[in-house]
Amino acid sequence: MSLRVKKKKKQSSADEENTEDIKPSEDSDDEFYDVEKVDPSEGPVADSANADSGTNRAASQEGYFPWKEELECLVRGGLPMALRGELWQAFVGIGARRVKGYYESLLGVVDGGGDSKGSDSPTKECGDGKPKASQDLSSEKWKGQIEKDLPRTFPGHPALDEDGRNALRRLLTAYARHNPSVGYCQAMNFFAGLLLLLMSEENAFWALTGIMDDYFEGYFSEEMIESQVDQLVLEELVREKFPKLVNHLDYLGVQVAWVAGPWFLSIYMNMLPWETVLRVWDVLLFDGNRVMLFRTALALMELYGPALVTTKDAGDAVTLLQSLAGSTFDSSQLVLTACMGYQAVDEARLQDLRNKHRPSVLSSMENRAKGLLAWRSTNGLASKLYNFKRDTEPLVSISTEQLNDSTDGDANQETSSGNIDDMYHGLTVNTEIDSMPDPKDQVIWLKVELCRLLEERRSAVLRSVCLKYPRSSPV
Amino acid sequence: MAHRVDNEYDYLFKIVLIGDSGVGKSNILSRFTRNEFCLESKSTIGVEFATRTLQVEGKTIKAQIWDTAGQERYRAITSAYYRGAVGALLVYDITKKLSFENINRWLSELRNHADSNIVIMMVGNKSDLNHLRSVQEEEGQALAEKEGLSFLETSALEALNVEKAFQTILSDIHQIISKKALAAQEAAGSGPPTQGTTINVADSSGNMKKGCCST
Repeated sequence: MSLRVKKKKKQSSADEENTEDIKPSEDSDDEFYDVEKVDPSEGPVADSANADSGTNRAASQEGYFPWKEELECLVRGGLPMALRGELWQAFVGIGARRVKGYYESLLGVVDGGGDSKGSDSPTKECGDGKPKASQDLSSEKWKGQIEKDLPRTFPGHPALDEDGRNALRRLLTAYARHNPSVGYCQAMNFFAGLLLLLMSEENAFWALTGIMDDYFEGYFSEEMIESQVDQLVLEELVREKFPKLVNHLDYLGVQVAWVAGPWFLSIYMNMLPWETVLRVWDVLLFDGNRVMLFRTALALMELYGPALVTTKDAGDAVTLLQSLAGSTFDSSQLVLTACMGYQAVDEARLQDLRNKHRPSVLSSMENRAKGLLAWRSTNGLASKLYNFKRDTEPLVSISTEQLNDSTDGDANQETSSGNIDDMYHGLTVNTEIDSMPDPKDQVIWLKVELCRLLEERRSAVLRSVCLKYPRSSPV
Repeated sequence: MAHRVDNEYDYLFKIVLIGDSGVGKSNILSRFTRNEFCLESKSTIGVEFATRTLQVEGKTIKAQIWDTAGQERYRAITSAYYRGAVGALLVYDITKKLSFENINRWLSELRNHADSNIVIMMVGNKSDLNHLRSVQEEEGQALAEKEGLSFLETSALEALNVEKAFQTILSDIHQIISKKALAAQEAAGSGPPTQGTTINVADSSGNMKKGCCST
């Protein structure tokens, strides 16, 4: 398959030999995908998953790809439908993540044995080794939700017949088992459905994994923290770029997030015309991050802001924006406005803004679970860790000792000190240390993993509050 | 959209539709605002929105309805939409016991995040599926009485009681509003109440008032 991609590439890019030059110097035969994946991530993206494999090479990457800009132009111009599936896989870098037998093993009978199925676990995604251990513990409560959503995914589409739905079920189930901290979240059914229309089932799994774990990490997890953070970030950007429009929206009492929330959560699916959705996805997947979500939203505001200013109440404003967005048939205009007009809105800028707004999301979540002591005491640490996990340059500055210290500090504060220790223990057992070439990478990996575990625990605590809270619960 | 009549209305009421995933919130919304029902509807991601203007007790009321995603983790996001809502339709599926048992959780959600004066109406949807019923109408009625909510069973598919449910909640809200306005007026000592609007205090949370289909 990688051959096919390469062949097609030749048509669009004369400098194809460059790819060949790099290939032998790297390890796997699926390198092509890896190159593709790293290439667009212009410099060290603060994405945790890129950190282990990408950053080193990314720095020296630019010189090797004189055709990068040309490719970018082509992507922005829209991928040919016949190639879209293949190219998306390349953009997401599924070749580098694929592990033989992993998908089947996730779907295999769930028995107690937490064997690693003899497969060398993917080095790319830190969560990969883990789910099997916790698999038996999690009650797979997402099953019911998946069943509910199967018939509600592109209803009536000919491809989603009995077989199609079975594939969709397997795909969503496999992902939920692969990453229990996300499990299943509504919206994934649409992503998975779209991917299944464009590629084989197993490839769709790896693509979904890439999108969920890299592009949208923390977005669809139990707390949906990053999704809330992004809305605050977008709000600030809209305020900055369209003061007049925001003035009017404030006057009407409309929050940008009311409309943009569903845009982001669905990656514009069902919100824009199909062709336009695909064009946005082309760029988003190529970019290697979710900057395109913001650029598209800003472009939509630019295109429809003038009309919005004429509305007289909140309902009209929202309805109008929704219906205008839904009729954005000129996909080229939208994509070009987004990419050209908002180049300054890049990943670095967004990360800064995210770091700025994240504390308020975390604290409002804290308020949600008010009265819960355990939650309060962990919050400080968790958010701190969470922050440096996302930091763009913490890689050197934070040592393992510090990390351990803060963990101990937390453990002492907590009455349930064993909790963290256990998790930390489990963490080291499950690590794929051998596959990590660099101790620095290991440290990063461990930090990320610890953050993830803290997140998980926090959501468990939150859930337990929810269970305690109902006033007269018959449940 | 068919009902986007004009910009003239006496009141603008924001209503939220909440309840477990798959109970039929989106179809209640589409039945009410567009008189449509879709057997194969798609999952709601985040929130969806629609408006309709209708007559309630002689007043033109524009209902702004927010339809929310039912999956539990979306609550953190959807609760932001409760702000400013004056009414909530809390929907369960009469064929799904669990969705009824979760009513209490949704109530506490509302009480924690919505305006304390929000008018809540409990709705048992899918009454057309009587043969699959697992929640008796009396159970719904009893819970509603206990919690002080109005209650109706609806069928979005058969267009049964959907209109009535909205009429009920909107007129409840209207009564509370006009009662407040009246109280404010009297407090200000500015003469007799306007018009002869009957303000029945005891009845303000009662159910089923007007006939259906005013449009």
